[in-house]
Amino acid sequence: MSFILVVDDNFDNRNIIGQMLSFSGFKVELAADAHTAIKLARQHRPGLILMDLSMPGLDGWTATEYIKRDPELGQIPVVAVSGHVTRNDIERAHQAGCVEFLSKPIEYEHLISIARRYIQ
Amino acid sequence: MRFPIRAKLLGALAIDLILMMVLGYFAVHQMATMNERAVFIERHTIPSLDTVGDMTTAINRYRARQLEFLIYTNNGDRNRILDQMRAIESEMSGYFLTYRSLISSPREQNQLDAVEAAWGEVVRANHERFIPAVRLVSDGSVQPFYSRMNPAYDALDQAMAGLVQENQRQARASLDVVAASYDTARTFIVFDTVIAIIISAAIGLFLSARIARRLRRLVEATNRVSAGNFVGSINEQIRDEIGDLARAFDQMLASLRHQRSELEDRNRALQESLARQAQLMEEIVRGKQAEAEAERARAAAEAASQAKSAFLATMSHELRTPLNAILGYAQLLHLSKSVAEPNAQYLERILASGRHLLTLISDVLDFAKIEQGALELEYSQVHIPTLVDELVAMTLPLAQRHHNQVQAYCPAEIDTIETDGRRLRQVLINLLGNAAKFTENGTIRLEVTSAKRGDVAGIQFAVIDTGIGIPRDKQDKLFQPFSQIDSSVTRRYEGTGLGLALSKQIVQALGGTIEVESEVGVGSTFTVWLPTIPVSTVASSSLSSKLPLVGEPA
Repeated sequence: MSFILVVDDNFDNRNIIGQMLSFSGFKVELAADAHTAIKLARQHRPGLILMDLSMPGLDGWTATEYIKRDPELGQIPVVAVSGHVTRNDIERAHQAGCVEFLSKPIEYEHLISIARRYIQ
Repeated sequence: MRFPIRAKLLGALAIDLILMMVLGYFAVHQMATMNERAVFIERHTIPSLDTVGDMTTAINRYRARQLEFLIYTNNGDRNRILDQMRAIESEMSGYFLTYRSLISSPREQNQLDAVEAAWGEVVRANHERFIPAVRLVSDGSVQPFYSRMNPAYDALDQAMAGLVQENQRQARASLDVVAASYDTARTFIVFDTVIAIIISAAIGLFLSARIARRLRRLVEATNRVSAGNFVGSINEQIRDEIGDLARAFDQMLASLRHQRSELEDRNRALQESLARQAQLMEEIVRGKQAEAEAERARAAAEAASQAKSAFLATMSHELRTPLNAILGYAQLLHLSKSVAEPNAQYLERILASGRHLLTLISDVLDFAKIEQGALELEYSQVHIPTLVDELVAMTLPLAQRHHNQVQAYCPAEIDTIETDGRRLRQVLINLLGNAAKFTENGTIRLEVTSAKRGDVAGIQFAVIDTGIGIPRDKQDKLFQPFSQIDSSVTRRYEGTGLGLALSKQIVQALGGTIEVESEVGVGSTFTVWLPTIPVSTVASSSLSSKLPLVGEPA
């Protein structure tokens, strides 16, 4: 079973999502910034990426766009995870190539149902 | 009557000319008369008097011959003298003949006849008595014979004197005629000349005075006009050149008046227009300033609004991040099942409160958007049966928590409508959530039906519960923000107090209505009606931006 790459600059967020997924039996890798995330994605080819949007440095929208354009990584589904829940933020996420939008705070059941949709 | 000045002058001249012609004719006539008399005197009187003179001389010579005949005694001399006498006699016959052709009146004829008769008596007396008597005596005593001739000669002298007198009378008569003609001619010429002068002078003076007067009026009028006074007119009645000039002047004056009044009108209009323009300019400047101020105010308001939006969005995000940690760790603890009672219960409260706080944050954000008129509707085709299924699925966990049944009724004819699916879902979730919260051991029912309001086709969603119900006097305040029936209810039942107010605003933005029917202890029915013909995006956005959405009485 392929693993899920969780990208978030906030330790708590990263940790909670990771723990919840682990609790449900998913394999998880964590990245604190988008550059690390892309590097990890290249090395290990995750089955799903959960991408925080607003991050210092390379933000989630740009990172998603980059991943989607990359011929090797383009196939990996990216789910946006954000506390920015205005329509504009959500639209931008979809335009960047995110398949889903998961709003913070994270509801465990919702998270798991989405994860199950992409990881068997 | 139209008489040009030239015609008037020519008329005056013609009168003078006629007077001159009459004068000339009369003078010629008088001259002819005088000439006739002079010719008469020359042709008749002077030759007559000449002849009379010749005749007198011949008579005197005849008498002298009688004396000589007395004196001479020889027959030779006597016969010579006798011949001479006979020559004088024939000379006299010639004179008489001459005179007869000069006779001009019966009286003169008579006088001449008397002279001829007297002469004939003298000649007869000479030849019948004197000469025979003288031849008989021849002694020299001739005196008695000569004296006997005297009466004949006296008669002849008398007759001659009468003829001369007649001639003189005739000459005098002719001279009288000439003198009378002269007098008449002189009087007439003088009179005629005086009349002509008077008439010419009168006409001339009259015309010149009249022309001068009229010209003066023209000059005065011209002076008035040149002084800028266009009032009045010459009003000339006489139709001639000056009249024409005056009328032309009047026309010019009228035209000037008209033009000046037009000019004044235009000037006035121009001034008014200028004033209006100035006013307009001022208004424009003021308007521009007002516009600029309005623009600044609008820009400031927009900036403030944007800043507010940005602030709200940021705050929402910033609140969600720590809330995520709280809810996340609480969920992880809950999942781990490692928390014993009563801490497990406390954990439940943490989760519930955290979720409540999350709803509150969302509602506040939505409300702020509505308040700013920034609620954007996103119309799409919404499949109602699917929506109903989703709503039931979402309501079920909460409803079951209070041991409620969830029912849904959606007839087959209900299919797809065009509306903002996300907002409709939000409203119905809110209503169903409320129903689930305020009902225990009861039923929560969602009924969807087609319903016309007036002429407008629509769809109706009824959320019916068998819950605690709402007192009638509280129903009115239900849709106002933060108006849960009382704070105890808020404490007992989760709720932001914004849900119904927000729902009402959203439904209104979609062109629909929301109503409540409720009885305490029996239950509540919330009815949402939406038109199936969607309110256009423009209309709904203008509606949402115009409505005083917060604090509006329900």
